[in-house]
Amino acid sequence: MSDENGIAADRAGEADAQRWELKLYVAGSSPKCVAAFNNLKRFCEQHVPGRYTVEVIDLLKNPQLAKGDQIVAIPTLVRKLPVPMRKIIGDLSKTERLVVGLDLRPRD
Amino acid sequence: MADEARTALDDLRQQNEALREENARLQAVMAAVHDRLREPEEIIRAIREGEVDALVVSAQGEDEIYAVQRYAAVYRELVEESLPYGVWLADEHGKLIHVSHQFLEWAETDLEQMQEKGQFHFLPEDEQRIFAQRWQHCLATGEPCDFEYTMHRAGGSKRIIWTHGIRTSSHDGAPCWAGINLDVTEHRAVKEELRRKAEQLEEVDRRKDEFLALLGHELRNPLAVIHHGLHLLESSDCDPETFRKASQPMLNQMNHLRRLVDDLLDISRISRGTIELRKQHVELGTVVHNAIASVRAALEAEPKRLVLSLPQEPVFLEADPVRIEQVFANLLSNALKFTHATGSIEITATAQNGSVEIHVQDDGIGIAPETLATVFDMFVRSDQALDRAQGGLGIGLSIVRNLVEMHGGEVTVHSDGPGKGSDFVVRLPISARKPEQSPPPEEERASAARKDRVRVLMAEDSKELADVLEMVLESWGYEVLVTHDGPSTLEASRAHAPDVLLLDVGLPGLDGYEVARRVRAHQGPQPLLVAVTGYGQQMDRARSSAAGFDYHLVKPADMAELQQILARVGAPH
Repeated sequence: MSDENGIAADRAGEADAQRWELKLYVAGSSPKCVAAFNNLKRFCEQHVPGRYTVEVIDLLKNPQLAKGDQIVAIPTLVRKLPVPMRKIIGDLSKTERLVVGLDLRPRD
Repeated sequence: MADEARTALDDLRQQNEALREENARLQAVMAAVHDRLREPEEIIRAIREGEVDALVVSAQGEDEIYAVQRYAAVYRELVEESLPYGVWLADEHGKLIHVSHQFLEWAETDLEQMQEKGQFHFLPEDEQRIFAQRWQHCLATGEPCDFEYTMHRAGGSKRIIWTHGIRTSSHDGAPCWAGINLDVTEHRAVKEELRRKAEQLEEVDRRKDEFLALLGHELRNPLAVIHHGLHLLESSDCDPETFRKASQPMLNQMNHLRRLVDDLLDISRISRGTIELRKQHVELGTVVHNAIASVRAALEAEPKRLVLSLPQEPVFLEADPVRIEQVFANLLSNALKFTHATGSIEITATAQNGSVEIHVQDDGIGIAPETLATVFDMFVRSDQALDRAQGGLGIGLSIVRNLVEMHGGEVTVHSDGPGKGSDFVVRLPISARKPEQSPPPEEERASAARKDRVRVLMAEDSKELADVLEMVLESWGYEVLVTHDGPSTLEASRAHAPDVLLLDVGLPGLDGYEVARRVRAHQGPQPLLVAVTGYGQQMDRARSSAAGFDYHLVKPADMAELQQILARVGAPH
């Protein structure tokens, strides 16, 4: 586990220089999806300003797109880049969970 | 030995190595399992913490999005339980997704049929087409839909359904149509009733305006007669012949005016529902004879024929004699008005099965079929006037109908048309009570008072009325004192101890009731107290009686009645 922590720390360092490619899976403009989008934007502006892209995928319009990233619950955030891929489920209301989930700080 | 030991040690080492490898492999597997479990755990956490509001569900190989909305089901139940026909939902293309089952039951259909055959398939085809077109228009423009249609059910009953729908978005933002189906049958019935009532009111209002115009006209003629008569009396030297010629028409017109005012007051009481019946055991024959007597003057003015046919056995009614007499008097004067000078009127009464039917038939101008239905309505007058002007406000028959109905009876009319005469039929219930001996006549106390010595104090705030009445009373031989307000009346009463006090109740300073109370409270000989007022209802009579009045006369006081009352006063001091 200690190894992983080390790697994660390194990756966080790399992330500073890398572009973030994010996908937000939503179902129309439901309250949680809208909240997730707003929370994500705020978070990115704070931590990776100017070097992120968010693709919003509406599964109501294209339910078949759920397969690719094996989406089960909506909203779900998928970070495609930097690798490894990360998935965070829910409305992204807890910044702490985002920081950890997106490897910006070592996991516990 | 040493070899054996070495071999054993190698084995152990190998085994140890194998175990170590196995352990590492297991740890890797564990880590992988842990990693793979992280996502489901995360999903469960997010769901439990309410951060998720939709799930992807695979159904028949395809992914579908299921919205998770906490109160949706509760809302729907609430709406469907509380509305008679509940809600419907359709997608943005108009395909029905949901229709409350109450509605489906009502239209004797199901959702599949509605989806297949169209949501108006239970309506006649032409209506289906119209509503389908309107629905398409809504779908194309997004305008709210607002349909009302009548649903005919198998049993023959029908309901009026109002469908209202708007284009909206479901909670997930997808456009859709949501609407309600309401049973507005009762609502429409009430609305129709209101519309009908409004029409009736308009009609009544129109008739009221006509009535007022008519009333002006009706008042003008008697006033003209009185006006000219008075001029004649003023200008001539009043020889007895001129006096008689001038005064008789004036008296006739005066009586006509009194009747008009009585009718007006009656109709106002009837329309306010404040008329009071004082029912007694009365005999039909007496009532009819009294009614004939009341129109005798008009009957004798022309060579008309009146034929009366009553049952052999006396017929008794539980009725207010004054009112029931008024019914027949009105029917008779109506018949007199609309028959020619040489016409004939027949009154025929027949008793049968606990009720009596009285026909008042004439061979006069008759009634047009289109007027028959409304002759009993207020302010309706016959348009077919005779060549001479006929008085009447068009309220007499309305009074008749109301009074007859108040007595539990009914009145109908029949006429074969203009020129064919009319037949008014009054049906009244016969009293079940055994006929009694004729009621004891009211105590007649016509005393032979020496009226020339009786002192009358008259309080009247209208000076002209006071002057005229004073002259009348003096002409009868009474000694008359006149006052015009409450306090001076009280003073005069104490100073002069009159035998009779004629009190206008609307006196200034101290009203007549109060004067009466104070006079009654005063020690000493008590005068006869007579109220003279414009108010003649039961309540007014009760009030004057409570104040201590002995008699209650309604203006203009009937002269004969006043004379009788005064005649009852004993000798003066």
